[in-house]
Amino acid sequence: MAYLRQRPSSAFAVSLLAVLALVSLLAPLLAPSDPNQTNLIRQFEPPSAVGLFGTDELGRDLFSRVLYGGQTALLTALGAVALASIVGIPLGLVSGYFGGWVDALGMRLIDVLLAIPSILIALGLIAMFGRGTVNVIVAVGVVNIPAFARLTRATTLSVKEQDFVHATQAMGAGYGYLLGRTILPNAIGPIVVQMAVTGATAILLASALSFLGLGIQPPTSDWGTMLSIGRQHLFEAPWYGIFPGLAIAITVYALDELSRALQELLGTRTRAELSL
Amino acid sequence: MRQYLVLRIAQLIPVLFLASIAIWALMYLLPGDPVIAMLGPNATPEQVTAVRAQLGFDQPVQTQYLGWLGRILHGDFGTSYQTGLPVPQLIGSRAIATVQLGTMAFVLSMVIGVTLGVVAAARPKSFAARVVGAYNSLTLALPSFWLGLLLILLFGVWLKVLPPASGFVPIWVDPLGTVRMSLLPVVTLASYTSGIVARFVRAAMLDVLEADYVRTARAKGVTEQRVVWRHALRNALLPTVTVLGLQFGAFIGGAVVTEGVFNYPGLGSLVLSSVLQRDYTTLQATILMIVAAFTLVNLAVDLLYAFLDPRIQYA
Repeated sequence: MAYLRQRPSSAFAVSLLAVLALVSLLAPLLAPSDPNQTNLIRQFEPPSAVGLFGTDELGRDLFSRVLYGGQTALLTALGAVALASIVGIPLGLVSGYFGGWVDALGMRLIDVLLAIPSILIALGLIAMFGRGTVNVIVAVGVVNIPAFARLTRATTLSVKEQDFVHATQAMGAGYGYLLGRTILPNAIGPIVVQMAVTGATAILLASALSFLGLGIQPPTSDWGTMLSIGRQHLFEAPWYGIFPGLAIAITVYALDELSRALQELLGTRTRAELSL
Repeated sequence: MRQYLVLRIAQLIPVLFLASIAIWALMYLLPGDPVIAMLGPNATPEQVTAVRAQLGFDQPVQTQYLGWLGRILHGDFGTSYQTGLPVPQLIGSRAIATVQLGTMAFVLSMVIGVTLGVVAAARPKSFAARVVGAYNSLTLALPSFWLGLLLILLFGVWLKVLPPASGFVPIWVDPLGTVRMSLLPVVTLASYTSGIVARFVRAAMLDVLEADYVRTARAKGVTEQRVVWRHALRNALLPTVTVLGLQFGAFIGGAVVTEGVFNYPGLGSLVLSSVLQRDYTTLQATILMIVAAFTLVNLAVDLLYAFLDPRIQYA
């Protein structure tokens, strides 16, 4: 808290993120109407006191859809971060701790993932498994595995040489205890920063996939999908192409600021600096 | 240096080989039957079997992969299912369009990024430095497809000064036409990288401006402008080179999205249409080409780094 008082921009970003999360979770209470309720008489109504963000091609209230879109974004970001962490962190821990052929094998697999630009991997996975929310989360999660694996490996390499790790080894601790209870808690700082960074990139990539028509499918409220359809109606309904994009930009900005605040707070320098 | 070069190239081979398996397997497992997509729903089972045999789809998996790899290594990239054109011909014209777009965006992002980074570092507490900080945050948070939409809305729909969709005009045929047709996608593609470059140049400049040789230059009476732009910037650009290598992947991702927004006929839109139309051969060859280019760019960046900074010794 003392840190946030010293850095007003970080405090602002953290509060913004909290508000965004709260508003998304409370969307059923806050949204003025059902996000999927169509009303063709109200097609393409511009923003007004009745509909803050106007209406879309089916007369649905865009404000309600943007609020519900927050839930989709939150779900995608959390899901992708969870998947990337669950696979990437153990891979990095094992690779860094054991070294040798285990490390060589693990890191070559990561090199292959890194050799293919992330959007192409995501496109390939979507093409393979099909479109839809779960598949987008899987695709975006897989793309982010290398960042977690590399980062955890690098931190493990330095932590494993410290005295307290040798002491735990000497006391006869098993590998599970050593990796999970001794090394991981001491390597967690940069990983937490990476989680915030990945949250931001996950929202950007998932929206890009939806925008290209390969992500989350209508009628689910999703910011990328809204922009994709809004793009076809730019002439008659310019607001349709503005508000969902604004929601993405504000969320990504808040997550980016959060990651930087965490980085300063935890005193870590991560690969995130290079990748974002 | 030569030893390092050989080692790096040797390291590339297994990565490219595994990547080729990954790309082939990904496309092999794609849902939908390309033969039916090619022949249409009215094809007879005999026709489907004949074409399947002709394309080698009735062979075991490993034979199909090795056959594909062998043909690729002999320069035979196959024929597009959808257009019936040889894939190299299809990729060739699109690659030129993407390289032109990418080069212009790269130059623009460097000019903006380096200038803003230097300005922010030269006077770290000034108003200008804060504006640069805001610019960096903005470019990182703005999704490129949304920025593209806003630019289309502003310049194409409201002001009507630039075309809302973009086509490929070779710069050597009509330079002015190229600028007119490509300005919006170039700005869209350059924005993200310009923010990254500005952030890194600023950080590197702040480090370099503290160095002894900069103090010596100032003590000798060299003008501040010369110290910043000639003495400090040269060394500050070194770490930026590495960042640019890492950004190449983001650049390709940006190109896929940007080309999608502007309907620009490049490699990115070719990948997209191939995914949508299940055109396996084109998709495999295009992704493989992009991956090879990506790997070579990273190798070139490593070598360039060693060349630019003679202090670096590769054992």
